Amino acid sequence: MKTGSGKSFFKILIFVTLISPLLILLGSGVTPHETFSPGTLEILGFTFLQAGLSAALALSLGLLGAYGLEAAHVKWGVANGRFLEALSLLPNVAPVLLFLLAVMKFAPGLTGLTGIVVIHALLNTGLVAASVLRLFRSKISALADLAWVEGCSRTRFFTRAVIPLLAGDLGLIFSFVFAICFTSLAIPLVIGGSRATTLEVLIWQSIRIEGDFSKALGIAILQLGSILAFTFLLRRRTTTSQAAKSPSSHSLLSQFAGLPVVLLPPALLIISLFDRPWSGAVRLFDNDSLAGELLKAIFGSFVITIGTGFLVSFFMIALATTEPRGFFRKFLLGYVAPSSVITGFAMLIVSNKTGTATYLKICVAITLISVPALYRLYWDAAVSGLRSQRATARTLGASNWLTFRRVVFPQLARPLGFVAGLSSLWAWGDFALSRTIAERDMTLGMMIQSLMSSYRFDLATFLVWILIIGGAATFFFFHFFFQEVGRVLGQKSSR
Amino acid sequence: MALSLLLLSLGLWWTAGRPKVPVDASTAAAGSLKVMTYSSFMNAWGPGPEIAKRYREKTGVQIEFQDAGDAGLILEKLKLFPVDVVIGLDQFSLDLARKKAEWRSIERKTDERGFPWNEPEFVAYDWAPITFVYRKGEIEPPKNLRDLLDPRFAGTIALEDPRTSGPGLQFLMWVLGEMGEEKGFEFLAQLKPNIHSVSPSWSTAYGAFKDKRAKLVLSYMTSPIYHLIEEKSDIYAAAVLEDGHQPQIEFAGVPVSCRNCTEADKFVRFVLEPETQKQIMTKNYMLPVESATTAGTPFADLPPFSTRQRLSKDLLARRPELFEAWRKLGL
Repeated sequence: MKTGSGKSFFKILIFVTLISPLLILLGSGVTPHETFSPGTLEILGFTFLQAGLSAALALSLGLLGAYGLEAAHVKWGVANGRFLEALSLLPNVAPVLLFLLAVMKFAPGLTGLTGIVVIHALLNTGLVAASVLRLFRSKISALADLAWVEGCSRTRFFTRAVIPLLAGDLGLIFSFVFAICFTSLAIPLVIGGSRATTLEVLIWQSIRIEGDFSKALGIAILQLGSILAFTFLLRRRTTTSQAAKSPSSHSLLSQFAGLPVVLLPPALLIISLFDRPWSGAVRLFDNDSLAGELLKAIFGSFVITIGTGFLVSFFMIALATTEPRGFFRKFLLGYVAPSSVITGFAMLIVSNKTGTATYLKICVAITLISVPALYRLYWDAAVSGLRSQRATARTLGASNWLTFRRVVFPQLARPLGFVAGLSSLWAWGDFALSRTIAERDMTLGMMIQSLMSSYRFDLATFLVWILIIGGAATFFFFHFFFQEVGRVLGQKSSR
Repeated sequence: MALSLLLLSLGLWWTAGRPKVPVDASTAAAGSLKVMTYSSFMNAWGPGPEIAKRYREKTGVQIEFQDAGDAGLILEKLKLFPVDVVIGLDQFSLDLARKKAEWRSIERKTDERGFPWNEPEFVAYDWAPITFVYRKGEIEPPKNLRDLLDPRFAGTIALEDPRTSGPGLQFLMWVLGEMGEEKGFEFLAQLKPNIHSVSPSWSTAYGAFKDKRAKLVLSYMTSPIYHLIEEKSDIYAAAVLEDGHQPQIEFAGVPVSCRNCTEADKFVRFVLEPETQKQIMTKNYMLPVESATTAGTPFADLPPFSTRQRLSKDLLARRPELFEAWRKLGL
């Protein structure tokens, strides 16, 4: 498909595109400062602490949750299992503040560092569980079959196989959740109180209160440098994928006790959402102009989420063709996109055109923020797992293009559907980034935030239901779309 | 193919969107006026659409609203999206606004000069005193700021973070202005046991109050009127404090970079007309600057209250230090 130099050029292009928000701000004359002031370094320490503890707890709960989800697949069938898996991702699509309010309703005493860690962990448990479940299927289920035949116990398989064989992949998931918590804004502010300041809070404060982009950029560079250094240190070798398997009937990778762990966070959210939703619906449909705005917002959300999903999948395919290794792979595993305000503002500097251009800018911005996270969470394992198959195909004389089309893409189609679907879920829930770019409320997420900032909580609560349904629709759209594309390409290649 | 598609899209992104001419030529046409404001002003449920409609009917000029996004981004966005009028600056952003952009001096009629907080370049168009809102019968409201330390408020007060929220910053300035810096921070430290939560935004704090997790929330004197009118609920009330309330004031201004400046000046005056003031009052749930506008509405029935005067310039200038002191309180 590409020569060595072509591939290098492509890698540079991707590298530059990913860091473009920072380059654009630097290029527009913003000079970073206050990067290493004592106050900033003290806050850096707290940011590391809360992110590390949050990621460790999320990984533990998510691992247990994966056992629960696998048990659900085995006991209740694939469709029900998938439904529960999608349900577990619910906290990740709903606006963070709604999830926060839901948890605070049931556990009002959660405050300080403990509160931050617990809520971060609950928020990410489903995502970790879904990712670990995929690791089970793609990396160790065949071994589990064999171990089961040999009479191995679940505990022994966990300590002797799951942990050692998946250590590298679990490290990647840890670093993914770590990065999310490292750059989290709302949770440390609401739960931690004023002392629990993170770098992200400082960035927000610099822009919002002081209007100081130079300071914000300085802190953003420190944030990026810290997390890159951390993930470089953490990086472990991952294992190779096998052909993905359906759930096995044995219990080495399934345990019902894990199911409540993974379903608790969405349950909290759903119960809290049943509070007053229908009064909001009545008020919404009593008002023609509000109903009109809602239709426009739903349309806008669909355009942006579908656009983002395809743009992300396009980016992921591009990444897969470069076969990331060495420094480039280390960079991809460690890179965290700058905060949403910085990324959004960079889009405005690039173009101040409105209308259709705004939709494109929002899609590009969400893509730039999602791609590093999705690569670290899932794509790296999926792509690097195919390395030996690629090498074999080339040895047998297949061209790069033929190898990609007939070997790589059919196997990446399913993970591609997952990452595209996940990015579309995030796009549904986004309002901070969109609001920085858009000239008016263009999405449901933005409309919900506007309603909440003008007393209309009941209306906002009702709209969250629509947001969840829309999120599920696009998630499954991408899942089935890429599954079908992979199936068609797979059939052609087997002819 | 993937390579060419990616290159094509990146190329389009980098080249097609780059603005060489910063302003849409149509903006300069006499028939339109670009107004930058916040989303809840320009949305269907805000006053913006009706004001724009009335202005078009009166003058034939089309109002195009541009979402400012976040309050702190208004001034940055102004550089990228030159507009004719900015609506939604508060007291805290005026100095920064002067620093980051040049503003036209706005001519006023004599009867518009009555409002005490007007500035030469900025016109106040609505305001509301900051206070604590509660549910009647649930808790006895505070009589003054010091009363907030009473044990009856233990774990009940929902506050906003001054670093990220306008009302939160108003509260900090209120306390420091009333008690002085040293005693003010002592008071805030003593307040800790009574605080339910410190939220990053007004909506989060108010959400906690609406969900009955907090019994007292830092909000506006006019908040109960929203519930009375929109929800037909009279259970909410606003505390009247003897100290005098810190006012949250919203301003409009015309940047020197305006393209339709004459029309912009006219529009700012239009915002102060009684009918427009009434629309802002009933949609924004803030008090009009023309007090006569409240006659015959629930806004006229607010209990008597006093307000604090201008913010201390010294305190405003030392915000980063004050935020650091706030952070160290660990509220």
